[in-house]
Amino acid sequence: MTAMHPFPPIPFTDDERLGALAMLFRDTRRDSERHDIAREYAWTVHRLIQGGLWYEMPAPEDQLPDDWMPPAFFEYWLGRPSRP
Amino acid sequence: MPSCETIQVVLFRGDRSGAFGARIKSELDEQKNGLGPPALDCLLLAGHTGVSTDGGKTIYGFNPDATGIPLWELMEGLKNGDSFPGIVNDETAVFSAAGIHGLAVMSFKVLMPNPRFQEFQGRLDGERQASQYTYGYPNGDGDCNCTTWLERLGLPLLSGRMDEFSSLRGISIYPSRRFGECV
Repeated sequence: MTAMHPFPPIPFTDDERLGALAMLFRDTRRDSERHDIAREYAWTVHRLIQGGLWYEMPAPEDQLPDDWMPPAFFEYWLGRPSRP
Repeated sequence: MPSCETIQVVLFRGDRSGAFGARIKSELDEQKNGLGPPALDCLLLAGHTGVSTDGGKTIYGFNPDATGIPLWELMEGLKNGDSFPGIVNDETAVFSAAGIHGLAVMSFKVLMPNPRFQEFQGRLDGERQASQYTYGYPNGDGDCNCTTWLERLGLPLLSGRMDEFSSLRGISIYPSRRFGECV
Protein backbone atom coordinates (compact mmCIF):
# COMPACT_ATOMS: atom_id res chain seq x y z
CA MET A 1 0.00 0.00 0.00
CA THR A 2 1.31 3.44 -0.92
CA ALA A 3 2.37 5.51 2.05
CA MET A 4 0.36 8.71 2.05
CA HIS A 5 1.32 11.81 3.93
CA PRO A 6 -0.80 14.81 4.79
CA PHE A 7 0.13 18.10 3.22
CA PRO A 8 3.05 19.47 5.21
CA PRO A 9 1.89 21.74 8.01
CA ILE A 10 2.52 25.40 7.30
CA PRO A 11 2.67 28.28 9.71
CA PHE A 12 -0.65 30.02 9.55
CA THR A 13 -1.87 33.28 10.94
CA ASP A 14 -4.36 33.72 13.75
CA ASP A 15 -6.91 35.01 11.19
CA GLU A 16 -6.55 31.74 9.30
CA ARG A 17 -6.79 29.81 12.58
CA LEU A 18 -10.24 31.36 13.19
CA GLY A 19 -11.40 29.95 9.84
CA ALA A 20 -10.00 26.51 10.63
CA LEU A 21 -11.69 26.53 14.07
CA ALA A 22 -15.03 27.61 12.56
CA MET A 23 -14.81 24.66 10.16
CA LEU A 24 -14.06 22.26 13.03
CA PHE A 25 -17.00 23.74 14.96
CA ARG A 26 -19.43 23.09 12.09
CA ASP A 27 -18.12 19.56 11.74
CA THR A 28 -19.42 18.47 15.13
CA ARG A 29 -22.71 18.79 17.00
CA ARG A 30 -21.26 17.54 20.27
CA ASP A 31 -21.45 20.28 22.90
CA SER A 32 -18.27 19.20 24.66
CA GLU A 33 -16.25 19.39 21.43
CA ARG A 34 -17.86 22.70 20.52
CA HIS A 35 -16.94 24.11 23.94
CA ASP A 36 -13.29 23.11 23.42
CA ILE A 37 -13.26 24.72 19.98
CA ALA A 38 -14.95 27.88 21.26
CA ARG A 39 -12.34 28.12 24.04
CA GLU A 40 -9.53 27.96 21.51
CA TYR A 41 -11.38 30.46 19.31
CA ALA A 42 -11.63 32.86 22.26
CA TRP A 43 -7.87 32.54 22.90
CA THR A 44 -7.17 33.29 19.26
CA VAL A 45 -9.44 36.36 19.37
CA HIS A 46 -7.60 37.46 22.52
CA ARG A 47 -4.22 37.13 20.75
CA LEU A 48 -5.48 39.08 17.73
CA ILE A 49 -6.76 41.90 19.93
CA GLN A 50 -3.57 41.98 21.98
CA GLY A 51 -1.52 42.04 18.78
CA GLY A 52 -3.09 45.39 17.90
CA LEU A 53 -3.11 44.64 14.17
CA TRP A 54 -6.57 43.16 13.70
CA TYR A 55 -8.03 45.31 10.93
CA GLU A 56 -10.50 42.97 9.22
CA MET A 57 -13.53 41.31 10.75
CA PRO A 58 -13.48 37.56 10.03
CA ALA A 59 -15.66 36.44 7.11
CA PRO A 60 -19.06 35.16 8.28
CA GLU A 61 -17.92 31.60 7.48
CA ASP A 62 -14.93 32.14 9.77
CA GLN A 63 -17.14 33.11 12.72
CA LEU A 64 -18.93 30.94 15.27
CA PRO A 65 -22.64 31.51 15.95
CA ASP A 66 -23.12 34.59 18.15
CA ASP A 67 -23.97 32.51 21.20
CA TRP A 68 -20.56 30.84 20.97
CA MET A 69 -18.49 33.92 20.19
CA PRO A 70 -16.33 35.38 22.95
CA PRO A 71 -17.68 38.67 24.37
CA ALA A 72 -14.34 40.30 23.51
CA PHE A 73 -15.17 39.91 19.81
CA PHE A 74 -18.27 42.11 20.10
CA GLU A 75 -16.55 44.61 22.35
CA TYR A 76 -13.66 44.95 19.91
CA TRP A 77 -15.68 45.18 16.69
CA LEU A 78 -18.95 46.73 17.83
CA GLY A 79 -17.84 48.55 20.94
CA ARG A 80 -20.57 46.86 22.95
CA PRO A 81 -21.62 43.45 24.26
CA SER A 82 -23.54 41.03 22.04
CA ARG A 83 -27.32 41.44 22.01
CA PRO A 84 -29.44 38.40 22.76
CA MET B 1 -12.76 20.38 -34.53
CA PRO B 2 -15.43 21.96 -32.28
CA SER B 3 -15.23 25.65 -31.46
CA CYS B 4 -14.12 26.82 -28.01
CA GLU B 5 -16.71 28.46 -25.79
CA THR B 6 -15.91 30.65 -22.82
CA ILE B 7 -17.29 30.46 -19.31
CA GLN B 8 -16.35 33.28 -16.95
CA VAL B 9 -16.00 32.79 -13.21
CA VAL B 10 -16.57 36.09 -11.40
CA LEU B 11 -15.82 36.76 -7.75
CA PHE B 12 -15.17 39.39 -5.16
CA ARG B 13 -13.84 39.21 -1.65
CA GLY B 14 -16.16 40.78 0.91
CA ASP B 15 -15.68 44.14 2.58
CA ARG B 16 -14.80 43.26 6.14
CA SER B 17 -13.28 46.56 7.07
CA GLY B 18 -14.13 47.56 10.60
CA ALA B 19 -16.78 50.17 9.79
CA PHE B 20 -18.77 48.23 7.16
CA GLY B 21 -18.51 44.90 8.98
CA ALA B 22 -19.60 46.48 12.25
CA ARG B 23 -22.58 48.21 10.61
CA ILE B 24 -23.90 45.01 9.00
CA LYS B 25 -23.30 43.01 12.17
CA SER B 26 -25.18 45.65 14.18
CA GLU B 27 -28.06 45.71 11.68
CA LEU B 28 -28.32 41.91 11.85
CA ASP B 29 -28.55 42.23 15.63
CA GLU B 30 -31.22 44.91 15.26
CA GLN B 31 -33.21 42.61 12.98
CA LYS B 32 -33.87 40.36 15.94
CA ASN B 33 -36.25 43.16 16.98
CA GLY B 34 -37.28 44.58 13.61
CA LEU B 35 -35.65 45.71 10.38
CA GLY B 36 -32.35 44.24 9.24
CA PRO B 37 -29.77 44.98 6.57
CA PRO B 38 -30.53 44.45 2.88
CA ALA B 39 -29.49 41.01 1.60
CA LEU B 40 -27.16 42.78 -0.84
CA ASP B 41 -25.15 44.24 2.04
CA CYS B 42 -24.69 40.77 3.52
CA LEU B 43 -23.23 39.60 0.20
CA LEU B 44 -20.94 42.63 0.06
CA LEU B 45 -19.73 41.66 3.54
CA ALA B 46 -19.33 37.95 2.82
CA GLY B 47 -18.01 38.05 -0.76
CA HIS B 48 -19.52 36.08 -3.63
CA THR B 49 -18.79 33.93 -6.68
CA GLY B 50 -20.84 33.72 -9.86
CA VAL B 51 -20.64 32.41 -13.39
CA SER B 52 -21.38 33.86 -16.80
CA THR B 53 -21.76 32.17 -20.16
CA ASP B 54 -22.44 35.35 -22.17
CA GLY B 55 -19.25 37.29 -21.68
CA GLY B 56 -20.22 38.82 -18.36
CA LYS B 57 -23.55 40.36 -19.42
CA THR B 58 -25.43 38.03 -17.07
CA ILE B 59 -23.88 36.55 -13.94
CA TYR B 60 -25.61 33.74 -12.07
CA GLY B 61 -24.91 32.92 -8.45
CA PHE B 62 -25.88 30.26 -5.93
CA ASN B 63 -27.37 31.31 -2.60
CA PRO B 64 -29.34 29.89 0.29
CA ASP B 65 -33.06 30.34 -0.25
CA ALA B 66 -33.98 32.61 2.64
CA THR B 67 -37.70 32.77 1.86
CA GLY B 68 -39.49 33.35 5.15
CA ILE B 69 -36.31 33.38 7.20
CA PRO B 70 -34.93 36.60 8.70
CA LEU B 71 -31.38 37.20 7.51
CA TRP B 72 -29.91 37.13 11.01
CA GLU B 73 -31.41 33.68 11.56
CA LEU B 74 -30.06 32.46 8.22
CA MET B 75 -26.56 33.73 9.02
CA GLU B 76 -26.62 32.18 12.49
CA GLY B 77 -27.84 28.89 11.03
CA LEU B 78 -25.06 28.86 8.45
CA LYS B 79 -22.44 29.56 11.12
CA ASN B 80 -23.92 26.70 13.13
CA GLY B 81 -23.40 24.32 10.19
CA ASP B 82 -27.02 24.11 9.07
CA SER B 83 -27.99 23.65 5.43
CA PHE B 84 -30.64 25.53 3.47
CA PRO B 85 -32.22 24.87 0.07
CA GLY B 86 -30.12 26.39 -2.69
CA ILE B 87 -31.41 28.86 -5.25
CA VAL B 88 -29.78 30.25 -8.40
CA ASN B 89 -30.43 33.87 -9.32
CA ASP B 90 -29.33 36.41 -11.89
CA GLU B 91 -26.95 38.38 -9.70
CA THR B 92 -25.45 40.71 -12.24
CA ALA B 93 -26.58 43.61 -10.05
CA VAL B 94 -24.73 42.19 -7.03
CA PHE B 95 -21.41 42.19 -8.89
CA SER B 96 -22.07 45.70 -10.21
CA ALA B 97 -22.83 46.84 -6.69
CA ALA B 98 -19.59 45.28 -5.46
CA GLY B 99 -17.66 47.33 -8.01
CA ILE B 100 -19.53 50.49 -7.03
CA HIS B 101 -18.76 49.70 -3.39
CA GLY B 102 -15.06 49.74 -4.29
CA LEU B 103 -14.42 46.01 -4.13
CA ALA B 104 -12.17 44.37 -6.72
CA VAL B 105 -14.41 42.20 -8.91
CA MET B 106 -12.14 39.56 -10.42
CA SER B 107 -12.75 37.02 -13.13
CA PHE B 108 -11.05 34.26 -15.02
CA LYS B 109 -12.02 32.28 -18.09
CA VAL B 110 -12.61 28.58 -18.50
CA LEU B 111 -12.60 27.54 -22.15
CA MET B 112 -14.34 24.35 -23.26
CA PRO B 113 -15.11 22.69 -26.56
CA ASN B 114 -18.68 23.34 -27.63
CA PRO B 115 -20.21 19.95 -26.66
CA ARG B 116 -18.81 20.24 -23.11
CA PHE B 117 -19.99 23.83 -22.93
CA GLN B 118 -23.50 22.78 -23.93
CA GLU B 119 -23.48 20.17 -21.18
CA PHE B 120 -22.47 22.83 -18.68
CA GLN B 121 -25.09 25.25 -20.02
CA GLY B 122 -27.72 22.54 -19.64
CA ARG B 123 -26.77 21.91 -16.03
CA LEU B 124 -26.78 25.66 -15.32
CA ASP B 125 -30.23 26.06 -16.92
CA GLY B 126 -31.51 23.16 -14.82
CA GLU B 127 -30.15 24.76 -11.68
CA ARG B 128 -31.82 28.06 -12.56
CA GLN B 129 -35.16 26.25 -12.69
CA ALA B 130 -34.65 24.45 -9.38
CA SER B 131 -31.36 23.74 -7.71
CA GLN B 132 -30.74 20.18 -6.61
CA TYR B 133 -28.16 21.30 -4.05
CA THR B 134 -28.37 22.62 -0.53
CA TYR B 135 -26.31 25.60 0.59
CA GLY B 136 -24.03 25.54 3.59
CA TYR B 137 -20.82 27.04 4.89
CA PRO B 138 -17.64 24.96 4.47
CA ASN B 139 -17.68 21.78 6.57
CA GLY B 140 -21.34 22.31 7.42
CA ASP B 141 -24.26 20.13 6.38
CA GLY B 142 -24.90 21.83 3.03
CA ASP B 143 -23.75 20.34 -0.27
CA CYS B 144 -21.81 23.42 -1.34
CA ASN B 145 -21.57 27.20 -1.23
CA CYS B 146 -21.41 29.70 -4.08
CA THR B 147 -17.85 28.67 -5.00
CA THR B 148 -18.04 24.90 -4.63
CA TRP B 149 -21.41 24.91 -6.43
CA LEU B 150 -19.42 25.56 -9.62
CA GLU B 151 -17.59 22.29 -9.05
CA ARG B 152 -20.95 20.53 -8.64
CA LEU B 153 -21.81 21.78 -12.12
CA GLY B 154 -18.65 20.16 -13.43
CA LEU B 155 -16.76 23.40 -13.98
CA PRO B 156 -13.02 22.88 -13.50
CA LEU B 157 -11.53 25.60 -11.31
CA LEU B 158 -7.92 24.38 -11.30
CA SER B 159 -5.58 24.56 -14.28
CA GLY B 160 -4.11 21.14 -13.58
CA ARG B 161 -0.60 22.40 -12.86
CA MET B 162 0.74 20.31 -9.98
CA ASP B 163 2.48 23.35 -8.51
CA GLU B 164 -0.85 25.17 -8.34
CA PHE B 165 -2.59 22.23 -6.68
CA SER B 166 0.13 21.27 -4.22
CA SER B 167 0.65 24.86 -3.07
CA LEU B 168 -2.98 25.52 -2.09
CA ARG B 169 -2.67 26.91 1.44
CA GLY B 170 -6.18 25.84 2.34
CA ILE B 171 -5.35 22.15 2.00
CA SER B 172 -2.71 22.44 4.69
CA ILE B 173 -4.88 24.60 6.93
CA TYR B 174 -8.07 22.53 6.46
CA PRO B 175 -6.74 19.04 5.67
CA SER B 176 -10.24 17.53 5.72
CA ARG B 177 -13.39 19.00 4.19
CA ARG B 178 -16.96 17.69 4.17
CA PHE B 179 -19.65 18.49 1.59
CA GLY B 180 -23.08 17.37 2.72
CA GLU B 181 -24.61 15.76 5.78
CA CYS B 182 -23.06 12.43 6.74
CA VAL B 183 -21.82 10.61 9.85
